[in-house]
Amino acid sequence: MKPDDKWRLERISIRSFRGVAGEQILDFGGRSSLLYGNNGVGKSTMALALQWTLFGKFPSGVLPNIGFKNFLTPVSGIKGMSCGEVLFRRGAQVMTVSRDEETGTFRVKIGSRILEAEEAENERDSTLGLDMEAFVRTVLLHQSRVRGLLLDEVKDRNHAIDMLLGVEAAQDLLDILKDKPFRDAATEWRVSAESEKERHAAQDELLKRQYDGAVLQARESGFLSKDLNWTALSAHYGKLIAIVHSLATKHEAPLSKLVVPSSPAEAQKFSAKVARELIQIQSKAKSQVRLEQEKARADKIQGFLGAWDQTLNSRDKASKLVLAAEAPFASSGKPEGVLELADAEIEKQDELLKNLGQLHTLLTDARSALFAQRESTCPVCTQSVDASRLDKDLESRIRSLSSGELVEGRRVLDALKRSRVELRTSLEQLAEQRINCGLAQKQLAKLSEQIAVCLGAHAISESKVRQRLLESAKGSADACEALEKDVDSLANDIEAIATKATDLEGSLLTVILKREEISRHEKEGQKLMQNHAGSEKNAASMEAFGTRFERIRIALLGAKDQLASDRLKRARPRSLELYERLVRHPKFSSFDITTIQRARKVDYSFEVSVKGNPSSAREAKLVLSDGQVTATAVGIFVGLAESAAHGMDLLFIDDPTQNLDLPCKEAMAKLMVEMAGRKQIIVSTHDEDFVSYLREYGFDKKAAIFHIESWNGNPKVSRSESPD
Amino acid sequence: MSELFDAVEKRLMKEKDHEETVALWRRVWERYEDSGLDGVQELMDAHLIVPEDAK
Repeated sequence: MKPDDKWRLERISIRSFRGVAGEQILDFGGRSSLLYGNNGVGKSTMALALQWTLFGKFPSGVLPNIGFKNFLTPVSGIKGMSCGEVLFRRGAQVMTVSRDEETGTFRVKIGSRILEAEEAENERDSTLGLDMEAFVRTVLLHQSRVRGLLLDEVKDRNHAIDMLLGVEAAQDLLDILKDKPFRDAATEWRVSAESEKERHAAQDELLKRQYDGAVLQARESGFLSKDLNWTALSAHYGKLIAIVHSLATKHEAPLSKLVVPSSPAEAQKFSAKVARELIQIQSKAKSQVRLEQEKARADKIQGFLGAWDQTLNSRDKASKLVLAAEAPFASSGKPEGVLELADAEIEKQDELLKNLGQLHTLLTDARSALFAQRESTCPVCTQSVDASRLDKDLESRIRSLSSGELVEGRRVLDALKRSRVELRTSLEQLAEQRINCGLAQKQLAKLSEQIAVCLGAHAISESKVRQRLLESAKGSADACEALEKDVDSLANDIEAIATKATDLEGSLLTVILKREEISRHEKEGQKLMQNHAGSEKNAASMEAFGTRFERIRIALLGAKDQLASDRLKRARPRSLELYERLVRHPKFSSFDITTIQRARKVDYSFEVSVKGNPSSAREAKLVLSDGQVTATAVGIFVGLAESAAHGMDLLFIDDPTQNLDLPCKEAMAKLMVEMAGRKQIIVSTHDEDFVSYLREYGFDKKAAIFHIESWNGNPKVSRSESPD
Repeated sequence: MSELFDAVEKRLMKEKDHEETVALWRRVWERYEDSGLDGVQELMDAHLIVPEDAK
């Protein structure tokens, strides 16, 4: 294919993309070019912009920890406005590829044809003859892909070789596509179905045992085989309800509202309903009501009897006390007359004492007068008297009065007064006794009236009250006894009915319910079988997916091995040549990368050796310096690029001299110059030595030179053109 | 179309009863192209059915 048969890069135009805030246009004019400038002035941005504009994404693993939009966001500029346009030329033919993040459009224009979206993508791939993976592998060497080869971890180095060979997608898919989750799921479906089956079988067994037990109990309760169905049970319920109705009628209780249950589920509440009805009948039955009334009456009579005896006793005691109090006065008629007599006695005694007092006074006065007059005549009768004898007589008499009669009279009066006080006390006590007796009599009379009312008599004489009460008590006791028999009989009937209802529920209904449960369980079993079929189907489906993913995995493994091996093989002659030119190792003049297929991945053996002596092979990492590895990687890339068949005549190499020593940089510059004569090479670098070498070997004569002088939100670019 | 896709498909085609597997591979690749590995994982999750009691 002649150069004019392939596409060359004419121009890149970008806006709001990473290191470019405004708009930046690099007009390559299809020529090889050098982009040089210090770190961070936007050189790599151009390489990324070319890839993004063409493909809208980056290979997996390039952006492991950040979002795509954040990656694109300009350092200073508006987020979400990235825009890029790339123009390619092939002879007179021009293709423009543009991408606009704001509008989400991707467009390819060839001649007058404008295509968008998927059509544009297809056109791009077919026109350029490569997809993104091939573009990255054979057109654009970004420094980040070389850097991985320098890492210490074998896994990381293998991944870097994957990226260099463009087979990292295969390994990414190998890592993620797993058959095990599907096979595990298949096992889980089967285990789940099996355990469900076992659980159902155990439940089945339990239900059958419970059913057999219920049948046995029903037979022990006297039910026959013909009773073990819902129709027979309904008939039993009907009979039971009739018995309850009959009982209610017999005992004049309100009729029950019981009805035959319409279903076994409803029947489960039936015995409780019957129990409530029976309690109602028992409490409202006439014999029960009457028994309670009669018991109340008997209690009342018994109360009256006690009260009567107590009241009568109290009254009799009071009467006896009255009689006892009246006894002392029995001979004197009315007791009040005795007090009058005592008062008269006291008055009489008082009069006597008064007279004796007057006599004493008189005699005293007479003796005084006699003493005063010293007369021989009596001061009273004026008769002649013997004064001394008279005085003696008077004195004797006065002394007799003072110490005898008067003292005696006063004693008698005091005795009479004391007697009167005692008499008065006795009379007061008598009066009180009489009041008490009267009250007791009134109570007795009142009680008698109450008893008469209770016994239904008009009046009952006192002497007959007790007897009548005893007769009534006996009558009540007899009535209670008779009623209690009725009530006991009712209780027996109720117990029998309740037992019957419980029997029906505990045996017949249990049998029927268990039978229904078994029937439901069998239906569940049928459903379970359908579910089992579904589970088996799921298990089979999971197994099939497991198998398919495993086949895909095996195919991927083989394909990766094959692609990597093929690419290495194709690139090998040129890679080896460049290894010799760039690395110039004094001993290990050859290298080889081979694939090692393992169970779940393809590893690489990267070894250097003495040319023609395979047994001298040593692991490259142990022998080569970082710079030598970098140079080897560039050589591999060039080998891969030159051995690939596609429609682009472009190599975009980002920073190829990292870690290189001066001789190696010089060799690299010679290589770039040499290649620039054959195809479009775009090299970006910050390495002044490398730039000098490039100029020294005439790169600037074959290429445009873009010097990115500084960066202040946007790269400041100056261009110098060779005369060519 | 990708060389990797073609290489895998070619290998799968050689298998017996490969239709379903090839169809699945195409879906896997389509999701990988559209949404990367996340898309592939979503596809696998969508196909994976496990019993409720195993979740």
